[in-house]
Amino acid sequence: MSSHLLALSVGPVQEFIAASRRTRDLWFGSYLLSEISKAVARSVRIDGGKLIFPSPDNADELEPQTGSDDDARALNVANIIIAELKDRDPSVVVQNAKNAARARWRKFADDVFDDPKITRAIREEIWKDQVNDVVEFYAAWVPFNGANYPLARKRVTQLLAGRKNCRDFCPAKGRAKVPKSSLDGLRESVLVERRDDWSAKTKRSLRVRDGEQLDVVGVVKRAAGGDRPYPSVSRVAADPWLRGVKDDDLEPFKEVCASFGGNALHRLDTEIYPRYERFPYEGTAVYRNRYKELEEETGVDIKPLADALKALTDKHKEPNPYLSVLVADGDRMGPAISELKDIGEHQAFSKALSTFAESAKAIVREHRGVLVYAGGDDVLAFLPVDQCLSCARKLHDTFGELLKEQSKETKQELTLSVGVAIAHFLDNLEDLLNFGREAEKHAKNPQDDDRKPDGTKQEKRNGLAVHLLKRGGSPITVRANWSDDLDERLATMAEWLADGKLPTRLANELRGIADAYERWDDGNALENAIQKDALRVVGKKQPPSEGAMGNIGDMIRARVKNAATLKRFANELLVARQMETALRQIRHETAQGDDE
Amino acid sequence: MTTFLELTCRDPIVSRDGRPFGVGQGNRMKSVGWLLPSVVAGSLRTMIGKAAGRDFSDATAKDLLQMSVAGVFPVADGRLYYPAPNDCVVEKPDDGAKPAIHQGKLEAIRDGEGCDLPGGLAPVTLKGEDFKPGPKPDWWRDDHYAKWLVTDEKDFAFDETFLQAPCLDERTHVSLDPAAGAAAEGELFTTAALAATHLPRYGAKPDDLFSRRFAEIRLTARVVADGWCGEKVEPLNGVHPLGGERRLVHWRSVAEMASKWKCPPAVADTLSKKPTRLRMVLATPAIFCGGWKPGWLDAELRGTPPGASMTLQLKGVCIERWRAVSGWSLAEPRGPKPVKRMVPAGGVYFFDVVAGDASGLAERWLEPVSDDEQDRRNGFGLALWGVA
Repeated sequence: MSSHLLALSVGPVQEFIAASRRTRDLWFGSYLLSEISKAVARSVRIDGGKLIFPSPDNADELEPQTGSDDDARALNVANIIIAELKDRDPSVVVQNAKNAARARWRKFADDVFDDPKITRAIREEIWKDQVNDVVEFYAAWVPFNGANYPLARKRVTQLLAGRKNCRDFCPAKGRAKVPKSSLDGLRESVLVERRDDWSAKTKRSLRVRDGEQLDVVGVVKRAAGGDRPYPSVSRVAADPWLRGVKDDDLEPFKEVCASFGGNALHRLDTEIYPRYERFPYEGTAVYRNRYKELEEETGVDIKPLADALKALTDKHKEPNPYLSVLVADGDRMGPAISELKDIGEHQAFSKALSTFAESAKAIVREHRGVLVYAGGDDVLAFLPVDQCLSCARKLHDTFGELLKEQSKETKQELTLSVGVAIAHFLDNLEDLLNFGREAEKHAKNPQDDDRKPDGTKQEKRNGLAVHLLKRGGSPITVRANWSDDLDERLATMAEWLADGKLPTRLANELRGIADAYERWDDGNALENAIQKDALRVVGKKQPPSEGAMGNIGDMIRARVKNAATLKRFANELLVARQMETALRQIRHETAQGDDE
Repeated sequence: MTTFLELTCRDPIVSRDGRPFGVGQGNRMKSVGWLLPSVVAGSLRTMIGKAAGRDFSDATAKDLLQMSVAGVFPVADGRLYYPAPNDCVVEKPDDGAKPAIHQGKLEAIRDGEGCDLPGGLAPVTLKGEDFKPGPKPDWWRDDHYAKWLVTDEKDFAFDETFLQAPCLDERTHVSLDPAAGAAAEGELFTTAALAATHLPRYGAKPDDLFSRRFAEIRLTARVVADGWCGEKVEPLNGVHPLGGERRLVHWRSVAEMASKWKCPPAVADTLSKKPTRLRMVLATPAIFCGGWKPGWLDAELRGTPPGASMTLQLKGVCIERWRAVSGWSLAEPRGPKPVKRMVPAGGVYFFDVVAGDASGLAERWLEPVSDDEQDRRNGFGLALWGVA
């Protein structure tokens, strides 16, 4: 029997990852997909396949995960697997891999169904309709005798793409009079109609809102893998404020949180999340506008918590509700993979990527964030606003460093583009993800009016984009190549603002001037007029403390040539203002003019 | 009796996906990308029932369900538009050069190669280079479509006559607390609707004039109805809601629309030349009893489409992942309808002609190929035919 190159793909990505209401849905869906991919890779390996992507050092790395490290769970095996088969029938290996994928999914689903506190909430007949029709699997293979690997890889990728053009599926076993899943509406809900007799444990496991409906995928994402809580977006948003609250004030509030005994407020495992030890509870606890929903979901009287929070916020103001969503993606990965000459080079490439994913885990943790997934060249994480830029820079630099050899080998500059969206934690999770992805797309592709500080065009890829999405008002976006040090500029401006060296309303006034000059033709007269106008405003403003107005003046002279350049400059100041809010909360101060 | 309708939208149109929405169910409406056929059929049947002063008894409902409703499609500058076919992929070069347009082809599997496609189908592939597909226009004018169906991708180019999906009109609503006169805590909900009066032009620059960025559109539907239903449809001219939330549309019958629903001469001419390999493109989503596989194909993937006379052998498929359709039934069992899975519009099926003559397919242009009779009457699976 001859040798083959085999390519496999697993899904459904959309249902597992994008259809989410709670952070746990998102995180567990991503983990689920990775575990199924791992089961496929493991099966191929057991059948004698030599794994190329992923390329684990030893078989243990493909064993089903049983540990308790949620960050490790966020380390993902991508849903594409490439392997070399020697003297094996590819169709048999593929069938075994398909069975392994389905068995892994069924293990998660069966564990949930067999849990008595969940079983009572499930309509068994609908569950059975759906449970065997979830995993998607596609495979293609080509002969490969060891020579001309790039050609064989290209051919098998082409065939797999052709295979995936036929998304074959079974007809639905739909049922009348049953509401559909609230997450994506694709299947009927498996939850029983009457919920008033659910136990506290059932409620705690499923955390469904009144009227919320979940199909088999939704229930597995919500309830599989135990009850251990995952940090919510509200916990991440509240982090700067919580760091600013003095211990003496926080302790009594924590005692009230603890008195609920986990019934209303999930307690984070501080061994897994030591960075949240200071306040190891859901962020919901510090946002009073979430209390109604908390009461709905848990059925617990929330009044003692409300009283304790009032005492705290009377002294420390309200926590700011914004957090950052970071989405990073490697640049020129496709062309680079096309340049890999043999299996060894591709395996080394896979290893470099998995080392990066490991590093990403540590970097996000250092920056007090929550990793949702890191696999291949992709990273998705939630971060406190004050930490997002330094985390983005560290990820970018680490990626470049770890893939330096591969850049040389493939003659492709392998860089990381990072998009950061700063948005309200109450925005729908699906929207938060989309905001992050939009920012990442922008990081890769500058728009026409994105320019370097000297007015020249920005290059594609190797970029950082920050999008600020305030509730009310259009998004404010800034983008630059990493070499332009946008991150440093924003951080410096935020520090100046927080130190009172710049007046907080300067950005809005500069935006106003930019709008007034919008339709003026470019030229020396315009440059002169707009600079003078902007400098007039700077000169008129009195910052609370001496310091940075001169620097701002210098920046205006160097950068502002017309309405577009002034607008970009003002946008940077506006983004910096959001970061200033976080800095002031850490310093236990309220930003001037901060109304949220 | 066949009647052609022109619909002019007054409001953004609500065509929701299956997620629960309403008090105590969900506070966020999600729109599908284009009106589902069943939404149009349901709204028209209600309009006709009301116009006839009927009581919506079982007998009335039975008559109304007999009406065949097809569409809607956009019409701009007097031309009909269809959804983009799946076998078109755009490669956008890095250097800003003109995008390359590729047409998917049935790929011959060489010795030793294989894939896990069902029934020995061949994969539909593009040229072998690695690239991330770029955006393609969502709606294609009938003459462009005809060209795509009878020729290959050579000399095919996109311009501003191609249109994009409708913009989404999202509105946030609050519930007022009557005692406080202010927004009630947590009572916030969002509706989403399709702005179906204009479609964005492909490649338009954001700072262009509105008229260069958007094409004004009407919608068109075809109705086959007999008896009292037919009598009410034929002279139709009135305002009635389309879709959810009672968003208003002007409906009127327009005889001159008939020619636009016919097979373009270039396609009819090509089909008359006894081609041996065909492409069937879904202009509306299809519902098949075999999921992705039409029920009119046997275990060997051989069969005859509804209303046609030749025998076809399925060779390859280029379809996106399934989507769900359900809805709300006012008839018993009243409540949410069961989910059905659809092959999305734009899906392409490749066939060999095994027996018979393909020329008859020109008469089957925009006729439904779904399996269930009622799904066909509801407009699911309208097919366009071409050669491969």
